[in-house]
Amino acid sequence: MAAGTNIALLEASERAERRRFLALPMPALLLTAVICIVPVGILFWVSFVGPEGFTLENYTRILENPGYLKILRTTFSISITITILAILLGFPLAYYISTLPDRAAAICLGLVLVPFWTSLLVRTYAWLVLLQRQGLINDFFLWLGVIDEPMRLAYNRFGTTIGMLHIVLPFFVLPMFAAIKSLDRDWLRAAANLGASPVRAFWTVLVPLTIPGLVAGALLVFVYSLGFYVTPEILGGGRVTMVAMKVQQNATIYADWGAASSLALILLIITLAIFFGIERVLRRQRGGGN
Amino acid sequence: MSDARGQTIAIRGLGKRYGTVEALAGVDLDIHRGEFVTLLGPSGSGKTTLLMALAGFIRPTEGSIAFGGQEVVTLPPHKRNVGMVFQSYALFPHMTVGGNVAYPLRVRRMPRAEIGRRVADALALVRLSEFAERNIDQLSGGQRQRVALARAVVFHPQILLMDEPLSALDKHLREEMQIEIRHLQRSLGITTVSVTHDQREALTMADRVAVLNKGRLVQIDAPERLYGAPATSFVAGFLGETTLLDVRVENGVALLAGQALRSEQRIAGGDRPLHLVLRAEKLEIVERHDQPGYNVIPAQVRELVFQGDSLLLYVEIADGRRIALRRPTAGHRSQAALQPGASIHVALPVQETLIVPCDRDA
Amino acid sequence: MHGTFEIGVPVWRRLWLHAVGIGVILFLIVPVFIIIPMSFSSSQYFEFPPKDFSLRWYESYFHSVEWMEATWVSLRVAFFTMLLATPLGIAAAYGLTFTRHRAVPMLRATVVAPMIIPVIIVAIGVFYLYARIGLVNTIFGLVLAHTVLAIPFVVIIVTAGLRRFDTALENAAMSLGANRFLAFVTVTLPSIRRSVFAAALIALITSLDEVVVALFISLGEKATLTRRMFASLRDQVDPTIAAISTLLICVSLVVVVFYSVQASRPKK
Repeated sequence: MAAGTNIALLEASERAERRRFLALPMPALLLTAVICIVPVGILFWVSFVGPEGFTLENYTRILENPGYLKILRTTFSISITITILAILLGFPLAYYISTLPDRAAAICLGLVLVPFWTSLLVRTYAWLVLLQRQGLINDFFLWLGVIDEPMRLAYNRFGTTIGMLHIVLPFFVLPMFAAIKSLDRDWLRAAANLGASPVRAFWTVLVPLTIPGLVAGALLVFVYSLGFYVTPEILGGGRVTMVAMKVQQNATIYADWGAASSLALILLIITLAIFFGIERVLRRQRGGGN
Repeated sequence: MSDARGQTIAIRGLGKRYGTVEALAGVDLDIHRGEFVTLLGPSGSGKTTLLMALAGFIRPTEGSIAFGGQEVVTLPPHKRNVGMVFQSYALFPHMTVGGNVAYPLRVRRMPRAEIGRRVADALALVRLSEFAERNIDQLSGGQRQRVALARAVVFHPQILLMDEPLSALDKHLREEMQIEIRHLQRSLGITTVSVTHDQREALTMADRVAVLNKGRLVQIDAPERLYGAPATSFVAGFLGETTLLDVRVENGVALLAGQALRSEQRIAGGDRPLHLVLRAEKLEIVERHDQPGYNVIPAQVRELVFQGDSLLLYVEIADGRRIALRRPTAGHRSQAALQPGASIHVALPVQETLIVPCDRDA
Repeated sequence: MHGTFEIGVPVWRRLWLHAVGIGVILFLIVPVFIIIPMSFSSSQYFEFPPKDFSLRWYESYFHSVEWMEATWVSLRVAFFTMLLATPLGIAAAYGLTFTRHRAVPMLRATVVAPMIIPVIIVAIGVFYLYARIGLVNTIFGLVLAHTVLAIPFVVIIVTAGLRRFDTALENAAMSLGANRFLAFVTVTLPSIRRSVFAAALIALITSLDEVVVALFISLGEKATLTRRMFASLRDQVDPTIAAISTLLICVSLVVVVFYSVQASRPKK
């Protein structure tokens, strides 16, 4: 026996092993495909089919109907507002936790995790309790005498925004904290050593180095906000309509699958585009990190 | 447990390619029953790939591996009945010492009483009888290594494989374990293949050492022969403290810087570049340039390093090349004669004059 | 001050940072905890602090046939989702982590897609499918849909566990005579048990908290707890929800405490 023995045999056994390994994800993959991917695909196909075959009617309606445009505008402006607020509140919090001693930081992280793990519905309900006409905030200010009659805090855009912000904030704080914590403390020491004032070190070293994490976190919050359904439905009181709510109405109230799925497809394309962007940002961060 | 239960290993034409990289190529190797063979080579030489192919963790691209005459090359690891000691020991952290050693017996569904007896035997063999109930994280490095050994032999495999078994231990413990493993292997009579990059470990433990370089088997021989008669300059350079010097051959006589070298070897002519092997500890310093039985090379001392039990000298020969040589520490007087700049005669015994073909990188 | 950023910010700036940090933390947790005293109030309306202590809303929850029915549906669905999503997710994570194949990134993307796609889109897709194959209003249909939503979390958590796992341990088990499956069960699985446990817990919570898909495919006596809560919140607010929410918050607290304990326990 010389070189070249058993080549075919070994190749076959290599292939068989690879097949065995690739079979493992198949049950999960199949279930996901059948329950989620394929039906969603069919719906998107439906959005291009009218009574006379292929049509863009569903999409031209979205572009021409001022009602739809208003919904898209509302969705985007609420999502942008929430993203900005999440950065303004989340970055200082993440930085604050990173300055704390280990034990205190662990407690604070635990406190951020409590809402993270609490049912979204429960948190929405909590804001309803706080914000409504006879709610706790109005009661408190009436008692203080600051106001004479209850403010309108819930069942409008304000309430929707606050409730959604509360829900997405942990999604921003947790990765932001990880990004700040992963920085080398020596860089800040080095900056201080080179004569930078602490404030200057913060703005010239810490902030630029955490920007990729900040951008990724902000995009995550933004894309999550775009698809919100439960919170605006409850806290909006019918005065705020976001894309997901219109999709639901079209599907269940009007049973208009074409209208529902065309809007859903637009939402999905924007979502996937942003996720692609997040991945690019994070990859660049990893690539240029050292 | 002195019955020799080892099995022969026959490797033929073994090759492993990753894309265009050849990790192993054309390896032929026969290992006898009960023999201890060490695979020695620098990192990337293919020694670990070869061991992993024997264990069944790496599937070669071509070739054959037979244990006791039976082809095993496509057999999965669990059907090879081969004991293996891993570099990190790979002891199961969620089991006790006894649980680890019992594991191969439990997966073979042995009766409980038999398992108990065999585990006790195996732990006694590595002198850890008291440790059966301990957790793995309560053990020292040397104890872990012994548990790994007990676990690898408890199911009476016919072949034992060891991947850098001692690399995680400190120097002192390493030397102790080398002897211990050697005794254990002899008393069990188990055919053993180990991998190391430490030449001393290879020479201490093995019956034969297989030297690998760039995926190819360069030489396999008993330690004394490997040291005394290296097949190529790679082997010569890898073992011991060696200076290799290019030599030219004219009319069957090797010339070093124009000087003819006497040798007991028949020197093959041809265009192949040849190297003279100069072992630091074989070189002597003599008074006369015509010392009988020696090739004497005039040289100048360049550097002198005191290393406790010996002196390391770097000397320069006529054409400017440097040689390392080692002398036992002598009195101050002779050391004084070896100060940098001193002219000396370096002598190489004729029977130690080795000229080997060159297979090293240019 | 070990493990902290210490760049010598003056005290007055620290004070400002403390105020902002604690303020945001209060914003995050006060709404969650305000529910708890509310649930013990006897009043029909929200009052804080509650005038008198009462278990009225808990009684109304535990004595309501509808709420009990919905709770039972939710618990069953969550339990079976965990039972299905955990092994499927582990198998997928294992296969995708240890295979070198050009299709792996695409397969991974498909498996985690339900986490990325807005849930409303998953919901109308599932509804569209179930309406045609008669799975609307079935426990089985809910379990399948929730399993698809939970699998991405299981895959991500178990993959992280497998990446930290020393594969030499599994190789050792195989060299000692265990086939790959036995080696996985006896060695790999116990080594990554924390990840597996966390993944199962998240699968459970994912199903328990899910609203949107349930809104489309579960009605009447097959409605889940969260679906019924949602309907109640949208129409007219029933203080019974405060009691249910308190119970759900307790579940989250148990999870967080469990998590912190796991994280702070030194790794063996």
